[in-house]
Amino acid sequence: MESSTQELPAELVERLHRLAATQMSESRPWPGVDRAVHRMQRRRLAGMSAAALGCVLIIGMTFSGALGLSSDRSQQAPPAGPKPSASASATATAPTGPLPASGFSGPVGGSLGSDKTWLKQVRARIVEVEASVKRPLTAADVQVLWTSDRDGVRYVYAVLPGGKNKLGPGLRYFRDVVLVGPAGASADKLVYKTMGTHDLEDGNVGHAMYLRRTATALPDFVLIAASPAVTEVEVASSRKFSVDGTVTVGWRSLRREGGAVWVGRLTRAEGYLSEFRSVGGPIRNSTNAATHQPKHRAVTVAPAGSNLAAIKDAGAALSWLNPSLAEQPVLAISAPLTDTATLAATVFRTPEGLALVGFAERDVKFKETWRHLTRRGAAIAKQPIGDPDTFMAVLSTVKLPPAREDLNAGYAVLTPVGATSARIGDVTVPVRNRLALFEPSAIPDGGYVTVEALNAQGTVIASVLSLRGTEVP
Amino acid sequence: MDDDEADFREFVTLRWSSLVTTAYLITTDRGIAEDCVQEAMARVHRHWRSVRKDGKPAAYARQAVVNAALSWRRRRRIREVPLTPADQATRSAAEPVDQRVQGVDPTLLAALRSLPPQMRAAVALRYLEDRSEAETAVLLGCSVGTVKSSTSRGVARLRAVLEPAPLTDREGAR
Repeated sequence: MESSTQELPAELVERLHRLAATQMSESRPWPGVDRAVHRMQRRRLAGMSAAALGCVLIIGMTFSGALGLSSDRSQQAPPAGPKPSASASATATAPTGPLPASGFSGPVGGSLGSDKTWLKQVRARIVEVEASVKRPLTAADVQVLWTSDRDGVRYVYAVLPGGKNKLGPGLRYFRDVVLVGPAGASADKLVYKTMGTHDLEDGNVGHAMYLRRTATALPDFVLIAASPAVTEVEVASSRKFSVDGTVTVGWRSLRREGGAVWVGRLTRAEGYLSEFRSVGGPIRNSTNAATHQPKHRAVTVAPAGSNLAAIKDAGAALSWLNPSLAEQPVLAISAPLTDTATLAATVFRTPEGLALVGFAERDVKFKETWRHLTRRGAAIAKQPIGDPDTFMAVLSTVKLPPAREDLNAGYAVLTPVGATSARIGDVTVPVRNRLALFEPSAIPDGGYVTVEALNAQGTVIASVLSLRGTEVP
Repeated sequence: MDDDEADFREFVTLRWSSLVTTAYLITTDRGIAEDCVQEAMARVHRHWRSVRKDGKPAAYARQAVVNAALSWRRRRRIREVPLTPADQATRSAAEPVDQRVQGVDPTLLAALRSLPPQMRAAVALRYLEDRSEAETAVLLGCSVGTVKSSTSRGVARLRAVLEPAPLTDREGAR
């Protein structure tokens, strides 16, 4: 063992102090600590995790019998109960009473937004429900943002004060609730759903809610609440991948209804992407519906006997590229590296014939320790994919965080069928089930390299330049 | 704002610079260092009344920061780390990807990053904050012997990286 008396030279101590001071000289505690405190408090609030931002509300599970999941929703019987006023529109009247500090303002949106009788019933119902769970409110505390009969469904979206604020005026909470039921239902017949508790960092935060008919369906409606500063909201309707690595997103504008809500029906492609952007202020994002993510699509093409967990990891890496429904899984394979480690790859083909490649190295032995996290990476292949059996790809990834192995990339290789080994320069590794892995230590310089696939006779059957990769933890 | 809240804010303001420096020396990343200290301060805030009553809020805060800095990898969020573009592939592998900014000593930073986090923390607490081996051991949750060996090897490695002698000890690289 080395001596414990070895000291750090004073000059080195000074350099390290200077390094840290230089790097952190502009760091300030506020408002970051306020936000961290706020986040922690929010996480501790009961039920918060289930109603996270960007939630997906499954309306069909709530009242599917009454809703009627007809493909032609316009044919449903006209509703009984309160009817929307003839002048109901996005320019409905402003809600009565003082507004809670939600950051949202303006008239109530939706076809029922100007129906004062209806709004009064809604507020009374919300006050009643909240009182039953010992959260006393007055009707004036309830800010209805949007309420509408649409496609056979009656919706109410409202925000409520979010509780006592202990940290001063810079941090505010609000809670949001959705009431949903068959079109025309009275307020006391609507199902009451508490969606979550949200904060208003900088007083300018919106959030999105995707609605779908059943737990396995894609969202087909989006409701986004945004601050008055937001002037435009668009949803992603398509994605196009290019060989140079760029992704072009097609956007479609949503309609503003009322002062704070942007709504729109979604196509199947839009519901899958569940992506939006705004102009004028931030809106918190959401993710794809859980049952439709690339990892679930990848396993549908995996051969029997595959390590599906590893393939899901590879598919999860592809989420970084966020393929749309137009990109189809064509390959998903796995191969053991050791007793505990597995390498997996999946390929999605774009309509233009490009390949989106995801790799993952999964080691269950060390999954709980940071030293051996699963490594994942994804990229757009430079070469088109024709027959998946002859396709070859190499992905280089760096480990996180960038430490001493900053640019020491590992190379995950997918070879054509028939390859038994892969080679980079003088380093050769075996191929198992079309997969091979070069560890960073084998390629100390990192960077872009040419990788060759060889058959049992040692003949090069394919070669490819490693891709620029993105590792996702 | 009540007295507790005012005291907490004053405490954070006074201690921020020191704590964030410690976090940086352990994580070697500005953003992560700030995240760690913010998270640690949120924990301090949660227990502020009892922490203040115990009379050792600074020690509690520093422990929270060290813990956060050593464990941030387990909770990290998705980050994008692009590889070197092909036209820059000749850049030195020792050159950090994300720290080519003014005022940074890249060689020193690379040397610091060559240490495993626990060893980096031991060196930072022992020599840069001038804490005793016993204090350092308490903060790191290890024995004094471990602190001694970690700091000794850490110093040796820093010197090896920063001085002309070749680096031979690659332990802890992964």
